[in-house]
Amino acid sequence: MRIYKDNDYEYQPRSPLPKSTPEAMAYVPFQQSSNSDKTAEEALDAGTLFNELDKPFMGMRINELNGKSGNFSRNENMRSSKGEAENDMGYNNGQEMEQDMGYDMRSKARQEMNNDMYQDKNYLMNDASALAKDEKDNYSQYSMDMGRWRYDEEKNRGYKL
Amino acid sequence: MNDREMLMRRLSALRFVAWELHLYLDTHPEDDEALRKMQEYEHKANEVQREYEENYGPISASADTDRWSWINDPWPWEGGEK
Repeated sequence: MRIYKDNDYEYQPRSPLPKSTPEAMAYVPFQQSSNSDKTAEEALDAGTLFNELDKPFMGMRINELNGKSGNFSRNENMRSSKGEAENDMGYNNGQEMEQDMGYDMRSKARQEMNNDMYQDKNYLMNDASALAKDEKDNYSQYSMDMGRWRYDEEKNRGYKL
Repeated sequence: MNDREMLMRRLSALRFVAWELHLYLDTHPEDDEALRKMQEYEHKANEVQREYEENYGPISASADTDRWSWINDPWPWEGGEK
């Protein structure tokens, strides 16, 4: 497969939005980063591999999220425009805004579930480099544990995860 | 989930991630790291698919089998891919 190099393909990094943005047109900011801390199965559940695109549907109005405790952190690569957003939206600080918006609550929940499960085990796959290693038994074990755990959790909680 | 379903889920996840990276590369063709990852995931997905097909039969009609067995039950609407 061809790998583009600087000298044979003049690639211009894309800015989030075009230079010129005529009025009354809608624009979707370009994806800026390929950062990911998801395993393949987490990506399948989330509907995307990329942190930047992981926007869980919270199913709540913003004011319903007010007063909820917790330290919700947004993804590393989303921080760049935070300052502007805070000001635009009249928040005093980022944490306040994040809590208000409920960013990443689902990601965090997902992460906690994984931590609970794999706290003392080292067969959680983190990225593609882990994939490259021989882990034939490990991923089967991961799948089985995940499946059984999910089944138990759903039974306990009385709803589908 | 039984073992078969888990393996299928594993395969779905790997194919999904490979395709995510494929789409990403359409707009970011200069990202060598993403390309490397995509190839690794594709390689891994092929391995898992081979394992699945060896154990549970072909996934698609183009699979390498000695008989026309991919029509065997269960199909997805019969609970084959829950």
